[in-house]
Amino acid sequence: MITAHSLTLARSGRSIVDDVSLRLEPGRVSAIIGPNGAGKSTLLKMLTGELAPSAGTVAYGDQPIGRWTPRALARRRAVLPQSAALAFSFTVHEIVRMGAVASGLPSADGIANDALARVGLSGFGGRLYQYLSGGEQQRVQFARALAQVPRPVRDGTPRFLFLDEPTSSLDLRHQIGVLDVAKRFARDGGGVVAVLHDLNLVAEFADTVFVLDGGRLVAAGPPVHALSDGVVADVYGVHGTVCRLPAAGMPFVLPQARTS
Amino acid sequence: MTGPAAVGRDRARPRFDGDRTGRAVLVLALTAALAIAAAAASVSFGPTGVGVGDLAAYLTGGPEAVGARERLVLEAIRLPRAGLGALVGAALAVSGAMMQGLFRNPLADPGLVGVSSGAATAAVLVIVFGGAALGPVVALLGPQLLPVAAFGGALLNTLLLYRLATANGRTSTVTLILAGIAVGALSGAITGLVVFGADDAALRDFTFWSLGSLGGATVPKILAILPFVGIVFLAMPFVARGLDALVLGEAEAQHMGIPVQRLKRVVIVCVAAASGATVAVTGAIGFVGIVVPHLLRLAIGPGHRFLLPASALAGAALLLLADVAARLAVSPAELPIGIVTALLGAPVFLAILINHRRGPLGD
Amino acid sequence: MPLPSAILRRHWPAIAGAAALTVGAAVAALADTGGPRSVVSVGGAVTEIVYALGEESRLKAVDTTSYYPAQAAGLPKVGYYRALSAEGLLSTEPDLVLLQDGSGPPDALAVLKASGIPIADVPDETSPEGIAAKISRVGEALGAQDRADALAADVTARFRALATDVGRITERKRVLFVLSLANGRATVGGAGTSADAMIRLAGGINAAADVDGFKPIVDEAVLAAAPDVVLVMERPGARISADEVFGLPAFQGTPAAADRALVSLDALYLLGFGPRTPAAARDLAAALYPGAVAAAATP
Repeated sequence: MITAHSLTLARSGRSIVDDVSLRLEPGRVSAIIGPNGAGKSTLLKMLTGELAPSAGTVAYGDQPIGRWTPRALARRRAVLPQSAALAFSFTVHEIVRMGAVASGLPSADGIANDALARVGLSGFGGRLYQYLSGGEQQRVQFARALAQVPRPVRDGTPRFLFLDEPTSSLDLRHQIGVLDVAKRFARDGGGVVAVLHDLNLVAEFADTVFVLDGGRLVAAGPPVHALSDGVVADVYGVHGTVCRLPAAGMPFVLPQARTS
Repeated sequence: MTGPAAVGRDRARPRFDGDRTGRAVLVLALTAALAIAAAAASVSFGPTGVGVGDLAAYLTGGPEAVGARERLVLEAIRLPRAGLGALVGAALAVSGAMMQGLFRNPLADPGLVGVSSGAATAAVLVIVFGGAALGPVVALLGPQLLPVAAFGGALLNTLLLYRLATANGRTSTVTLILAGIAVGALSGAITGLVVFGADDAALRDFTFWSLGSLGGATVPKILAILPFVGIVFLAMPFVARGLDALVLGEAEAQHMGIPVQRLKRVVIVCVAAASGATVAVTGAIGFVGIVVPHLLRLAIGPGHRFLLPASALAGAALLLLADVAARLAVSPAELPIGIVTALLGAPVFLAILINHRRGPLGD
Repeated sequence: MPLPSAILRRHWPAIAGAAALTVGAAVAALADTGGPRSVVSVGGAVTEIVYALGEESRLKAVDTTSYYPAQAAGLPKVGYYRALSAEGLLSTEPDLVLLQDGSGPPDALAVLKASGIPIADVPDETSPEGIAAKISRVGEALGAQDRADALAADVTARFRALATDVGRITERKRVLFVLSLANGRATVGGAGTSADAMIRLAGGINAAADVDGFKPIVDEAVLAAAPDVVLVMERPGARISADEVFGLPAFQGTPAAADRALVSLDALYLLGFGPRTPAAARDLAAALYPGAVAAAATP
């Protein structure tokens, strides 16, 4: 379990994240949503240890994040960043293997191949990363993160996957594919935290939703509650858009149906 | 590259699984053989007629098996020269590879971006003011003084460059080159100022130093730079995985458990130690640090576990061969070795630039 | 490797000692049969002295600053005198190396010395006495002491004659030596330079005596120096013209510009401080004081 208490990050007098407290539970997919500039990625960076908060604490288990060595932390959680170009031409295999090595488990090659298979890129190991399409690159990075925490639970401790807009470069099929893998990771006992934009994907895959607006946590809970008309109207400034299918009770969002 | 044709070709051949370890081991063995051959060539060729036969006799029969003149040429000239050449070449190539890894940029070379200029400025300061102002320090450090000072100058410029050229964990080529020009120009200006104020004796020492080549190789010189270069070689296995991860980005490396700040500090110290030490004894020798890692990356990929040791071996081989060319081209005079390496290196540098513009190598 | 030279090298100290003991006309007359046979001369003035002593047949190689007389330029070159290669020098198999003071680098010289090859360090003082000492040292090393003494005496006498001529001049001219004019900026010869010594030998006043060594100076300093004559040197294929000098704003206000007074002499001739220096100084004096001092007779 990861707990954040009163996380605040201020830059030049302005709070980007303001007094956010939350708990990330294993066995669940937690989605962080909110409009552009709400502080979603910044919050994610503080949760992964990449950024130090101006105030507040993050703890993995009962240990504050500052007590973890980088190596130990790497075995507890993996991070899928927003995509970036590489200056040197690594092969897909070499990149995914880096994650496998960071897992600290033996047989890095096997773990890397498994991870590639899970994202549907078996046989891509020999390709050069920089010549892949944006979507393929994103899936390779996802495979690298998976290879870093190949087992959702190890020695009785759950592992976490942090995904920063994991579906941004993907087509519909692969969006669902990647989130399916993430969901299975959570079902098997691991924790998944994803920054997402597509509220329908959130509704389908998330167990818990954290809604950020202006750096503050304005709503939290299962999608059925958090994705309410009121929240969407307040946060996104779009009214009357959340509908529900009577059968599943699963909300879906039609942003074009605006009335104001 | 990812078109159907490429896929078809992939299917026709046994599929490459992306693991280049086997190829890297092979290339490592080849570069080792090349370095040994280059060292043998360095000891066997020169303007005097002393050759392979004498070397063989010396090695098998001991020092008494060859004449006094042959012995002098082998012991006092060629062996120290080969030793110094191998050390300097290896240090140049490794520091180039490390710096490129640190800056995530194939064009970052200590010689090109002002690190060597910083070392040179410090060396010149010592040469010019060493006698008067630094008397006690000179006495304390002896032959180590020049490498130590040059290391300091290189370190200062590397830190400055890193601060200037890196923002949010990313380095843009343009900023890097511009910052390198600025840092190098500043160092050059200080050097000019110091030389301007130098007296005749200091000026003469400066001239000797600035015309530096491997020609003045002596055992004390080798011993003077050995600690600096040795540290860099020892650091190679410890920074390799971190530099690999750093290629993906600073945050990504940190996510994968790399202590990024410590890694950067170690690499900066290594780059400064290697460039400082080599500049102190041979003056600035350009392009080895850029050509060798670049060609090796084409052969074995950018993984630093093999890139760094292969660079050391290939760098040693390249500099030794360039030195053989330098001493034979205009015998009995000698070409400055920097000219030879620039002749070899500048075209490769241009090729990288052109590729860089065409290919998706980052900004 | 020819055997005799190997023997010679190995037994050089003994031979040198023997030669020193058997002083006299006999040795001088037979100089060509004794002494070193393959000499490397490093330093333009040193090479000139070897030629002036008639010992050029012994020369095996020279450095790149040795380009006078013209035959010297045709000899193998061991590189710039400050950047010698130990093995390159050894490969010419010399039995004597004449090294002008200032040659290097020191490490290469250390190896040369370790090789046992006799090395004669030749001092490089920019004065009449210094030239005499240079000649004497080269003569001694080549086993041509008598001819060296005669040459040194001749040089000294010619300096003395010039000093007498120059001593009669009452109004001394201010001379500014310009080493280079890179980017329109003058690098001049200040106090302590060979150019300063030359100007004084020729009876001039160094207009840049306030500066130490060869230094670039600002335009206003050129005006303040107020030279009557600008002195420049030419190298084979490179010379500074009067138009170039007096076209510069800094020089336009000087007395020298009014007369377009520019003296241009060959670099090695002017600043080499070798056997031709009395003639060079006299030529300079004649250019400064036409009518009062006669130019040197062309040899």
